[in-house]
Amino acid sequence: MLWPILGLLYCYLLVGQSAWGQQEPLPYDQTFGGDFALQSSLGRTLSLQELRGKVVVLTFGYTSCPDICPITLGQLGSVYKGLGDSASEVQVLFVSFDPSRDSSEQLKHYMDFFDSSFIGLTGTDEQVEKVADQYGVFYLRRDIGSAAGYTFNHTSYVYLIDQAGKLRTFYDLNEGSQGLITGVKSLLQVGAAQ
Amino acid sequence: MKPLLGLLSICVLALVFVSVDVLDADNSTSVSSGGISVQQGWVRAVPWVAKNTAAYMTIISSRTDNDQLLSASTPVAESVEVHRIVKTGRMMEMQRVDDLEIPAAGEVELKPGGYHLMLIGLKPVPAEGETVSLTLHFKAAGAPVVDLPVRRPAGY
Ligand SMILES: [Cu+2]
Repeated sequence: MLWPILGLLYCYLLVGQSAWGQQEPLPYDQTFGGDFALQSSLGRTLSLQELRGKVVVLTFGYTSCPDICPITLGQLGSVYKGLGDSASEVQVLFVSFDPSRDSSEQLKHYMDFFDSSFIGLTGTDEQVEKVADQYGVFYLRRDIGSAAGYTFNHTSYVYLIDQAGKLRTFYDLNEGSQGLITGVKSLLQVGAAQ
Repeated sequence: MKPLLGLLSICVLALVFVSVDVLDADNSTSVSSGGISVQQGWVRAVPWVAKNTAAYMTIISSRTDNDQLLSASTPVAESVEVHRIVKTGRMMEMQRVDDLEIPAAGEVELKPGGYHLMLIGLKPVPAEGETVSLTLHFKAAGAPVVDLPVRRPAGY
């Protein structure tokens, strides 16, 4: 009995978005966000300031992560490719909180698999922790007795930063990537109108 | 009436596309041993610099007693462990599971964001399109070998 209702809901979303395409303007996050500079997979330090004018999609993780991080990056890869021409106005950043295993070189090759434009970032433990704090990201190094070595318990949200470097909102991609797509597009629209 | 018909046809189309997508995803073979069958298995394609990856599958039992998956092994990885992702509050946590219980006449699904077999220490990383052969060691049902396709899941 649930199917017809779900179907109708799906239709409503589908039709609602194309026909009545008015979107609520994105709010500003009042608590988190801010500039940072970290060592990047470009082989140099990259600061968020350098990306003014672009929509930035920021996420955190580590490359030894087998299940959550590659899923998120895979989703971001398909969101990014789905943007077509406007993808060049969007920058995806992945901050590793595992600098002792994730070198810039490791991050570069890891990012390339999802999209060669994605930039991996890391730094000292202190530097990374500071950026994580700024964005309300939690991670906890743990030993679960695995041959894979230590793992991390971590939050896995994706943060949307506007062209002025301000954090607008964040998304849980476990619930799908439609919200992020809508958010990115609304920022691109506002950017284009200015 | 017309807009409603339009909506309904979109619905039907949407449902058709969704089901086709699901069917497409299953391009693996199924294997059975001692009343346990393994279906819809696959291995996540990962970057060549990755150290680990994950295998997923559905384990279906037609046995009258409970069984356990004790361990697994594959030529492409140094070790294989059963892990589970659990969400506690806002945190995602990976836990190690020693013996995975397979209930009598029941099934256990290993899927992204839930249980997975973690292939650790890849030598080398299997490429997309290749096949990984994996031996599952059950306490009662023997040791079936499954061949799993390496692929990027739908959506990336
Ligand atoms: Cu794992």
